[in-house]
Amino acid sequence: MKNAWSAVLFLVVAALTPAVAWPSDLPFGGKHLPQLVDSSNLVVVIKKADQLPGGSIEAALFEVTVDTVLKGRAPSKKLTVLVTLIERAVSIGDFSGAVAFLRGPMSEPALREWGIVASGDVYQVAAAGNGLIAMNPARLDAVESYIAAAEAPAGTNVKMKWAERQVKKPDDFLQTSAVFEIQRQKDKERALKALSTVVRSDASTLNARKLAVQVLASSPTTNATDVLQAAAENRRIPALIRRDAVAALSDRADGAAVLEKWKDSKDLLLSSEAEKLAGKKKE
Amino acid sequence: MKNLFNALAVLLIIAAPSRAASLNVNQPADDAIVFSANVAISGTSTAASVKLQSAAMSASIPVINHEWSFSDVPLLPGLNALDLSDDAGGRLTLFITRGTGVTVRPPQKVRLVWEEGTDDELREIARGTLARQLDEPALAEFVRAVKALASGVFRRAYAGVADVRLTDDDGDDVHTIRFLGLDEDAFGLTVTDCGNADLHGRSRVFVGTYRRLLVGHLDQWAPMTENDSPEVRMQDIGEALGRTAAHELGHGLGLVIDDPASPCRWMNGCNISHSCSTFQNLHPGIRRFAEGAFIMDAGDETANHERLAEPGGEGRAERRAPSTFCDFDRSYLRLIHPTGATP
Repeated sequence: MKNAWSAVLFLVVAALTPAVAWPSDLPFGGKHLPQLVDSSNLVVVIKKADQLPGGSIEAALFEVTVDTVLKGRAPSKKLTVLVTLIERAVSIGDFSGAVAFLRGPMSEPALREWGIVASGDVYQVAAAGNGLIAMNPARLDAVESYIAAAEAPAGTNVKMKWAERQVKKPDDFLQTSAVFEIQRQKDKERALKALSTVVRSDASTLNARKLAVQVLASSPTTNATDVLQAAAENRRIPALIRRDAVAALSDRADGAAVLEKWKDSKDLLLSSEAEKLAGKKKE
Repeated sequence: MKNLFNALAVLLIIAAPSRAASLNVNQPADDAIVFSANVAISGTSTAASVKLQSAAMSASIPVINHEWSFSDVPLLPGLNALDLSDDAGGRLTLFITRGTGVTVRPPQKVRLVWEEGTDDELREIARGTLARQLDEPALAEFVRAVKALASGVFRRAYAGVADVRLTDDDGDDVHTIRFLGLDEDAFGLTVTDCGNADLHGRSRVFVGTYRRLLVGHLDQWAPMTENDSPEVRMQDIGEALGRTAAHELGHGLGLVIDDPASPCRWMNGCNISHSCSTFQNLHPGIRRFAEGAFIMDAGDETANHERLAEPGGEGRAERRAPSTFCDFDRSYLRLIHPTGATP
C-alpha cells in the first residue's frame, strides 16, 4: 500500500516536466508535517483540479475544487493555486484526493516574481510545491490531529503525544514527520526517550532511525551521549544506524572518551569506526 | 522498493572493507573526479605487494621501498570503486568518478544584488530576535553589516576551491544572485546547470523566509537566544545568507545533478540536485552528506545551527565552523573553474 501511495505522490507528468532540475533550499524538515502545517494558513483536501492558462516558465496555475478545509478559511469552493516548478513537476493527478498545504493569498510582488498575472486571489503550494501530500486515512488523521494540537494550551504535551503515536505508524512520511516534531520539543528528557525508542525499534523505518540519530547528535542534553552509545553498541540495530551513531558521538564534546574506549573493542564495527573517527574534528 | 533498498544498504555496509594503516593512497584523492579514461594510482604500504580489483581490471604489483604505483588504471564512466589490498592485511576502497560531458569553463563572475524589501526584512530580524531594541542608526548599521558579512561568507566558501569572482556589473559571464524580501517557504532557488554551460545564470535567496522562520521561533535556532548581542546576530544572519548564496551558486555551476537524463548524471546527487545520505549509504566510505556541514546538503536535512556556522546547538562555540563543499563537490568545482587560471 505504501508503495502505491509513493507512486501516486511522485508521479510526474511528462508534459509539465521541466528539462532541468529546479532545486530549492528548503527549511529543516520542510517536506514534513510540522513544518508544512506551520508554513500554511490554508490546508485543504482536494476533490479535483484543472490546469489554468496564465502559467509561466517557472510556475503553473491550477483551479482546485476543495473537498474539506482542515485549517484556515477557504474563500470559496474553487481556489486558484500556483505551483512553482521548483522541486518537481506537478500534474492534475497529484491533486486528486491529496491534502494541499497552501499559503496565501500571494502578494503582487510574489506573483510578479514568478511571472504570473492573475485577477483574483492566488494561493501557493507550500515548500516549493512539496506541500501536496498523497493521502490515506492514517495520514489524514495525522494532519487533522496535528492541526488540532497546534491550538492546545502551552505545556500540555499534545504535540509530543501526537509524535509518539505517529512513530508507531507503518508510514515513513509519518514516522519522519514525528521525529521532526520530537526535535522541536522543549521537554528534552521525554524527547530523548522517544528518540531512543525510534532508534531501537524494528518497526522504525531506516529514514526515521537515521533522522533520530541526527537529532540526538545535536541534542544539548548529556544523556543523548548515552543513547547514542547504546545504539552504537546494539548489534540488533542495522549497521548503517550504528555507524551513524558512532559518527554522531565523534561530533559531541563528551563522545571522545567513548570512541577511545571502542578502539580496543572486539566489535569490529565499533573498533574500525572509532579508529577512523577518534580525534577527527568535524568538517 | 524502499525496504529492498534499505536491506541492500545494510548488506553493503556489513560487507564494507576496513581501512588499515599498512596501506595508503597518495594519489588521486579519495572521491575525486577525473575526465580521463585511465588514471595513475600510487601510495605506500608496509607489505610486499598490493592488489587492485575493480569492475574494469584486476592486478597485483610489488611494493618497492614502501611505495607502489598502478600507472594505467581503466575507469568506467561514473563512479568507480577500486578495492585495494596488501598482503599485510591492509584493505581500502578508493572511489574515483569518471566525469563526462563537462569541460573547463572561464572564471565565473558573480553579482550579489540586494533587492527592494530586503533592508526591511533584515531590520525585522534584528527587532524580532534581539531583546535589546536597536535605534534607527543601529538598525541601519545592522543591515549594512549583514550584507557585508554575507558577501564575505560567500567569498570564503569558494576561496581556493573555484575561480569565482565578485563583480558589481552584469554581463554575459556574470551569474546574478538576487536577495529578495519575499517569503517563498524556501531559502533559495537556482536552476541546476550541468557543467555551468550558461555563465549568465541567476539565483534567488529569500530573506523573507529567514525572517518568518526566525522571528518568534528562536527556540528552533539554538544556540541563538534573544540575549545575543547585535554583533553576534549580524554574524548569524551574514553566515546564513552567505551560505545560502554559496549553495545556490553551487547549483548554478552544476552541483549536484540527480537527473538520469542529464550528461552530469554521474554526479549521483539526490533529493532534487542535492547531496543526501542515500548515495553514501550505498557506498560506505564515501562522505558527501553531513546533515548540513556540507554546503550542498539538502536544505530539509540541514540542521538550523549549520546555517549559522555553529557546530552544535549546545551554546555558542568559541569559533564558528562554516560549512564547506565535500571532497567530491570541491573536485568538480576545481575541474570546471580551476583557481589560478588566467583572468
